[in-house]
Amino acid sequence: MRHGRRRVTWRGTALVVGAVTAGCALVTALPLDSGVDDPFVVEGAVGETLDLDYAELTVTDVRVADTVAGFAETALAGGTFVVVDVTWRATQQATTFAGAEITDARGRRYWPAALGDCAVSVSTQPGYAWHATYCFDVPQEALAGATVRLARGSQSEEYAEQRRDAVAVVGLGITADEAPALWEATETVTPEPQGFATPATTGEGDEG
Amino acid sequence: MKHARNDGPDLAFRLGRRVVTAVVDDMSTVQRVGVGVAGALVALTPFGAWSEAQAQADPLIPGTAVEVGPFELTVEKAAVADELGWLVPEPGNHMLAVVVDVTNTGDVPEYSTTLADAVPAPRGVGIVPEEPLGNLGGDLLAEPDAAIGTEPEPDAAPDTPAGTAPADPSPAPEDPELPSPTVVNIADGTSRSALNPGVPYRLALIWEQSGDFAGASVPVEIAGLDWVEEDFAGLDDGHWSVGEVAFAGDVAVEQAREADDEAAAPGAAQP
Repeated sequence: MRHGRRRVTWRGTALVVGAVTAGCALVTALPLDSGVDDPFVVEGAVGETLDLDYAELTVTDVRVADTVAGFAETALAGGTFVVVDVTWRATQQATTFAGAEITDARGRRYWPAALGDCAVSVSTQPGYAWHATYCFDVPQEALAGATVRLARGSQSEEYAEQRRDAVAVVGLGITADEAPALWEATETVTPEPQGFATPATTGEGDEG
Repeated sequence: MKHARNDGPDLAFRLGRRVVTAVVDDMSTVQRVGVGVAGALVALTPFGAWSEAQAQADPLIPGTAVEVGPFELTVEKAAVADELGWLVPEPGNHMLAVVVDVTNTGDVPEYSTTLADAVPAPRGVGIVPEEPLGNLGGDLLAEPDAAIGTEPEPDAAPDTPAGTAPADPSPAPEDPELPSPTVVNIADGTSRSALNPGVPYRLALIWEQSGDFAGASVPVEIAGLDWVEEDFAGLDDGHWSVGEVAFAGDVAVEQAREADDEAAAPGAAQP
């Protein structure tokens, strides 16, 4: 079977090992799919209606409270609650909006708590405006410059469900000057349970 | 010449041996030894050849903060109470709460179950074991009419008809599985599924305990949490894995009433 005498040389070994190492390094270093997986981020501000392709989203109000009073339970913040009121309107089909997360100026992430009547996930039929309130327990340093990221895909598992999908990032409009006062305040918020949006829940009633 | 197909199972072995022989024949002795050593090291990897030697658990001192995975954790005390809000024990038992101050020092939220997994139930102090899942099936398979409204006896069903209930012959092993604690936020009696970074929480880790227990302290253990960036099979990347016991110590138990006020009475949180 064998034709002549071959030797496994150090040089040959080094070539093979080197080639494999170079291949591994190349695969690791090249950004193979980072561009493909990025979500489509729609940025906005409180009060703005954002078009997410599958839904229209408005962050109607942002409040800070140290107590959230619901129908069944009252929750006290370990830090303070950032209470975010939103209106979702699914535009294509019945949709579950599972993603809600606050990111602070340093990039730390905070998830909402299902306390009181606060929502962590919202399901709606298409065509209706649906009101929901998210409550995030955050430390003082998270307030200034925080943004809220809302989407139909959940933020768990490193945003796996938000890949190549529209995501809203809304600035909460809290400045560094305002943050200490908001932190000190001892407010109690009673969130409206999620449901069909009415002028009262979206704040539009205030104008009339 | 035989047909390769008829050689069946040992064809692969013969081919493999031929390849190995061909390669090894051409190697120098140093190369053979090197390949042998490398092969042995690779073969030992799944058995923990590279893990650090098992360390002795550090002492756990109440009031002193310890770092466990993403958490900075201070065990404050333990307390027993007849019931804690919606947690009501079986008659004769009581609830044991271990009070901890916890801060998530990471940049992302962590599930409170991760914390619960790191604090196993204290051993040898009468924590009520987990209901074995086999019993659930037993309830369903038992006579429906008889099961309704009657307390199923623990050692019932010796006369289970053959072939029905998977009657486990050892329902009470010597080291029964103890349950994970129920985690309750002490300030308001709510449960928090996620612990956000930088927020200080005072939590009660609660187990049901046999009423026979009357000790002055319970042995609390805290397991280390190791971050698994890439799972061995790639199925569960990026999670905290519960490791060996990292801290262990006795925590004094406060008796009943005074604990009741402090440790999680959800009703009291109503305005």
